[in-house]
Amino acid sequence: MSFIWSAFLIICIIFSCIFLSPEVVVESISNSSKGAIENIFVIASMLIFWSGMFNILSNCNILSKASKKLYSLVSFLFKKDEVSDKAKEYISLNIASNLMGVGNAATVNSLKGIEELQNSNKDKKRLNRSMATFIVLNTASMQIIPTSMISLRTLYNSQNPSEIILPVICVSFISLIIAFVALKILWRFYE
Amino acid sequence: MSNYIVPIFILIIILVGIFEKKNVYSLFIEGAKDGVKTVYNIFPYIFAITIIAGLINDTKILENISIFGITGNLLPLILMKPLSGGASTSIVVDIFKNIGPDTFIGMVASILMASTETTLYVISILSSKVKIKDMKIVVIAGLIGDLAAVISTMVIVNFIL
Repeated sequence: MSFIWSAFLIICIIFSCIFLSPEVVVESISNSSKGAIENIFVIASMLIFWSGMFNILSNCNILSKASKKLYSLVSFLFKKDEVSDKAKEYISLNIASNLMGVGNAATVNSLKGIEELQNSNKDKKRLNRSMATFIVLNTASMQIIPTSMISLRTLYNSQNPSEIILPVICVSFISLIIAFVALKILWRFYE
Repeated sequence: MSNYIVPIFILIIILVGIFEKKNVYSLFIEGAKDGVKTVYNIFPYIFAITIIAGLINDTKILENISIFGITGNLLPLILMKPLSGGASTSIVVDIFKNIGPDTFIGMVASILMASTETTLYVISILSSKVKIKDMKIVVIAGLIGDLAAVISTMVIVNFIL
């Protein structure tokens, strides 16, 4: 992350100092700082709401029953001894909210899930297999129906806005599989 | 139909809580407190990502280069999507306005936007929770997944159009 972040920063600053003007950099940084503050309010509002909602749910007994069923569908991805019961609940909630396309709810559950996975992690300074799998799962899109993209296409007069549904499902699936394969290969070097 | 998902979901949570005789209100407050802490913790990460996303957007650096014949409109989207959902949405809107959503580029943009996630953003937020520095492995795996999405989108759109 550190490498990517600093590389982008250095390239952009050098580029604009040579080809554009230094003011562009200053202006851009001050604008995006302002934008970041505005963004955090938008994110905060929904994140706090869903955090409260899921706390109710995670204290109910029905969740542990339902999540066991849901989790059994994806259990082959994770290692048994690395995932606590609480983590299983958040993993299944995370996947369910991702599939439904409720992004903010998915964020809340991914944060809770990774925290629970870290609690049962033996070496706190390194990712274990299940944590890496869970993170990669969250970097892939799992939404079944891309509602916001369909409405955006409708807004700009597409002849067939929902034409993308099937391709999107195929592409999401392919990219998830490839990411998992890549993780599996890379894991040998990591260990 | 999909408009009903969220309200019904909230309704179910409340009803389940009442049915199981839990103190729904105090549980909500407790969770919301946790949410405030989470926002506080992830904010610097979001801030850092927004700064570079803004710089890349404002310097228009990506519009001046081309890789493998992917020029102008698509490359900024491909490179921006892992960083920021907001910035990449505005690129897609630009494409829709100037080229149209049903053209080759418009279709590729729509599918890519909907089938990939903001990989680096997600990883940086999740790493804020666990304080693990070495995220190389998931960054690489996630970005390889994104690359696979780009290639398969191109192939599929070529096939339909």
